[in-house]
Amino acid sequence: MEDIEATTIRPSAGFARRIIENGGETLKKCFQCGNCSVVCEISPDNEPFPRKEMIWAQWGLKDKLLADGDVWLCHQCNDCSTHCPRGARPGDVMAAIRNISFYQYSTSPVMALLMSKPSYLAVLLLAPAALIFGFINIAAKKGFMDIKPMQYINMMPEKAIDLAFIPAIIFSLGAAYLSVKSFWRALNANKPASAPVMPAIIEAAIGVLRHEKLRKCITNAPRATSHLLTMYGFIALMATTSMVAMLYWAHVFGVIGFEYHEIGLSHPARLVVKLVGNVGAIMAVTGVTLIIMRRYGAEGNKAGVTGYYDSHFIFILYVAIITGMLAELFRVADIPSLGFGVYYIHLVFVLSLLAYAPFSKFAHLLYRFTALVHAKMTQRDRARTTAAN
Amino acid sequence: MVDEAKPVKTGVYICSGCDIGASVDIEQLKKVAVSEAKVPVCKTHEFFCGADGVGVIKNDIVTDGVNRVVIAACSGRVNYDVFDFGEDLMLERVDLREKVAWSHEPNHEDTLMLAQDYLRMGIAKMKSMEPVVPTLDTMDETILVIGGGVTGITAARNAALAGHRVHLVEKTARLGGWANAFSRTLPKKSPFTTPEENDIAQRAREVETDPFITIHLNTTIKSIAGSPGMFDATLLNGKEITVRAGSIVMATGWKPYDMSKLAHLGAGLPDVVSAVEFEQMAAGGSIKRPSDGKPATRVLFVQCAGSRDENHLPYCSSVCCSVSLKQAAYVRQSDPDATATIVYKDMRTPGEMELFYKQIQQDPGVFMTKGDVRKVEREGDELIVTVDNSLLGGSVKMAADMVVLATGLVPTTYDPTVTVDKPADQMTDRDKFKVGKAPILNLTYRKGSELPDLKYGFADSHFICFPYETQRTGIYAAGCVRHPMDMSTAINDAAGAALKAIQCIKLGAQGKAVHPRAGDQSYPEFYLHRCTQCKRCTEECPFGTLDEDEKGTPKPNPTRCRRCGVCMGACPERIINFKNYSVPMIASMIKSMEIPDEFSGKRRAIAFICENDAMPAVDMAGIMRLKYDPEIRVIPLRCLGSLNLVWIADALSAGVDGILMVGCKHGDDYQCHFIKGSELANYRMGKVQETLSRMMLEPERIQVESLAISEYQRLPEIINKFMAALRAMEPNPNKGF
Repeated sequence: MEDIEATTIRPSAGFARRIIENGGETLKKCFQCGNCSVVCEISPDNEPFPRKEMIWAQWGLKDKLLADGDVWLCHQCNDCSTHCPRGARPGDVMAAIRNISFYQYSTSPVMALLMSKPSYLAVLLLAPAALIFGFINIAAKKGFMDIKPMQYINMMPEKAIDLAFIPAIIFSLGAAYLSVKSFWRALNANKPASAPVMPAIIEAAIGVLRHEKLRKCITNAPRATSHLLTMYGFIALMATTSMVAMLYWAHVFGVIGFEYHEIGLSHPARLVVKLVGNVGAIMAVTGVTLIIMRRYGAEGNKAGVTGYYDSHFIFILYVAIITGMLAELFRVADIPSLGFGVYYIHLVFVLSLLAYAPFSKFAHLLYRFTALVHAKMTQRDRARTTAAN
Repeated sequence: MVDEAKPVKTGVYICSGCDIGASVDIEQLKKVAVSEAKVPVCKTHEFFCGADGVGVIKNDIVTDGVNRVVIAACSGRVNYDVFDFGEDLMLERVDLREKVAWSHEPNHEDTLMLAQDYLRMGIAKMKSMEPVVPTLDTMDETILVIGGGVTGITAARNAALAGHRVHLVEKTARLGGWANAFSRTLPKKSPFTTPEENDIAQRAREVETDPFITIHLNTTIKSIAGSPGMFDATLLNGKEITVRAGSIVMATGWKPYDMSKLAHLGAGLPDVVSAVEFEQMAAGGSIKRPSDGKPATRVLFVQCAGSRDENHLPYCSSVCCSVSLKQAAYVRQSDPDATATIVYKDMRTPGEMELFYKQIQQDPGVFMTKGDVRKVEREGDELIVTVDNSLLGGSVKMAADMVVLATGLVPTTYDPTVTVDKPADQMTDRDKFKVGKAPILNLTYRKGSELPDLKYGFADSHFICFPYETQRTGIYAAGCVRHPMDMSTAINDAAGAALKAIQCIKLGAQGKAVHPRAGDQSYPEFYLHRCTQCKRCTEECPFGTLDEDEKGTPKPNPTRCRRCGVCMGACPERIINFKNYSVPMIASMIKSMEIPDEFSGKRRAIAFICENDAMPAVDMAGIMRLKYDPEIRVIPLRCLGSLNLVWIADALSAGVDGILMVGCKHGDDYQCHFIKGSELANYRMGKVQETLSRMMLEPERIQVESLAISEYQRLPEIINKFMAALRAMEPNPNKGF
């Protein structure tokens, strides 16, 4: 006989209603046949998901769901939703639970609230817009529009950028740390992980870099490509920005003898930065475009539910990438009137993206990676035994 | 009716179509009819079932005075409409197609011998057949409906609408039965998503105002005597009155399983109620805890409470899940924050109720899980239900204000408290049939006062094939006394049973049998001068047809009879025979076979085959062109239970090497159309095998096999194995005597 749970269940419709509101409206159709767990390519053999999550969700067992790493092992392939005989769309329910997790594990109740509804979007964008505007007012060179050659540092000098972004990134990392910590604690209270953490992290990281899980998806097979392009494109763009900043500060501190913004295009440093930046931008814009086409196009049903968290993240990311590319184009074409405006928007969106990361869907990388590491440490993530072996 | 004055003139018509001509030499067949049997008319045609072929036969009947027709062509199971020359003409079909041409090697000597034997047997059968004289009785057209619940009143109303007078007997003071207690009813019409207004009062009113229906309230049945068409029911309501009825619909319904046996599920605690109690509570307008009168906003339903449980009711009552879903809807409507929790073994919502389940499932305030309820306890102000093996993850505890036990349905016919105070070996048939049965019908039948049941006390005769039929002709069960069902099914059931009851009266008036030999006008005749009062016919009749006088002589009741011939098979004196199915008839068929001598290397065996299921399987084997041993001859019987042991003796003394009997599956889930015919055959065979040993013959020469209608592919294996076993033995030493 299994141990009886210490807590007595007092059913309440509350949490189930929240899942329903967050995109899991098919939730109650589940009749626990277990097809979903059988067809899932990435669910473990023992206590597989998403069947158990479906009934916990129906019963509104919030504590169980929030401490359940399996919610994040799910990559929304939606093979379960395709094969569900009742149309309960477990993939969507899992996505809805994850969206609620962003809220639940948020370290700042204010941020959690602002991120939860489209009506607060304006507030979220106004803050960075005002901040960047303030920095421009203070730091821009006089008549920066007319200075030739046209350079964006004339409007927003490197130091201003760093002053605006570095605190935002520190805030973001701090919040992320706290969220991951409380998530990790919940995971361990549920299933204590005693295995060494470093090998698990390395193994999980390799898995993510190779997109091992997403490549097993059948219904959502195209997502492996679009996510891969987006992820590597984004990494390349972050690398580009970091390289420029490093080169700048290296010059300031006299480590190198040239100033990045003054060297010509033929300089190897500049060539590398431009190559990585442009390739990254093309990859990222292609990736996000593919995601948008799939999520909002004719195949949207297969992609699964797209909640506000998804739309918000896609929107911010897309605008940030597109404005970045346009800014480059306008600079090369020497159209300052458009270029500086677009660059301003670019800065606002990049700041939004980074500053709000732990409260937005961007945080999926935190929770999913944490869950993957925990799964490795608790042997929940071993490869599924197939008929072939 | 055949004019007795007319001389018998037999015509034999041999068809050569459908591969028959290509398989056997038709001329050799003709010799059997013309030279051996010397029939006056024998014709061949390549297409007897065509207009031309039928014309030939019709012409002979009209102009040549042929009054007995033997058609040697296809199986009697096909083209019966083409070869229909009226009820008065005696017709025999010899199957040369399915049982010869299609299942044996063409133009082989053995195939020809088989065809010739079948023709010989057909002609011999025709020779010993006599015209059937139907037993006509005056049938009363009134229908007696027992039980005034939804099934009973629907049956009564349907019968009345069809023009029959009805006596409706209800033991309580009010029509409507259990349905009177229902707040709302399960959905009966598309889209089957919401509980419906309970219309039982309206239904009762229709019956109360129907001039064709006489209602007897507060009435029980003292006795029912007679037989279909002439039942005399003595009703008891302070005084006795006797009414006559042609047939009976039994709709006495159900009672809930005794909740006091469910202490492990909390029965006895004040806030643990049965589904029926909860329904009454909801009908009363408010869902309150009996203990303190506070509204119950958290209600937990325990499904299969004492059902599908070997210690209680082993069966599924099929409605409890739907009822709990309906009651969950009551809970949810009582308060927007109320919750209904359902713990089930399996959610079973048959038919359209699945749509209802889907609908209720959508409510966020309804929680369901599979699980086994281990215990229900009171802790402080609430009930704590411990559930093992739940889908929520092992064992869990759940809190509730009230627990509803969804108890199953027990037929009113079942009453385990009824016993007979006698040792088992002194019990008469009537005593045995009393045990465990609630006295409802109080039949005066020799075989017992109540209906024999299949399982768990439900009055039924053959669940799948013959709904509404009981094991007593003219008494049809409907509603929950037949098997557990919801109201909408019960309403359909009532209509079905009413139609059966009407059919019984109508067929009876024409001297015809009811299901499964509907339309058969033959009836067993008893040559009572030679009766030894052994009572075997009376005891073995599956339908309680025969009563007996004080000496034990059988007293026939023709309208109770289903014409299976079990009595004919039972009778050691062979005094029970039908005009067109008799002990001498089958014996003459056996004798007509040609038995090759022991030096020929050929064997002969007979397969007695039940014509209801096994015979179609034999035909199907032919249609599928399955080949089997040609040295066995098939003789169809009305029921394996009609097999008289004298045929075995006849066959063995004629030199037949072995006898195979193929009948329906028997046992608890029997498929016999006459309930226990194949079981009886099996029992009798045990005795024959003993006799064989004494005769120094191997008991293995006689085998009994069961075959379902769908198992035609097994037939060649059964026959070939049997024949191989026979060939391993010496030939029957009686050959040539």
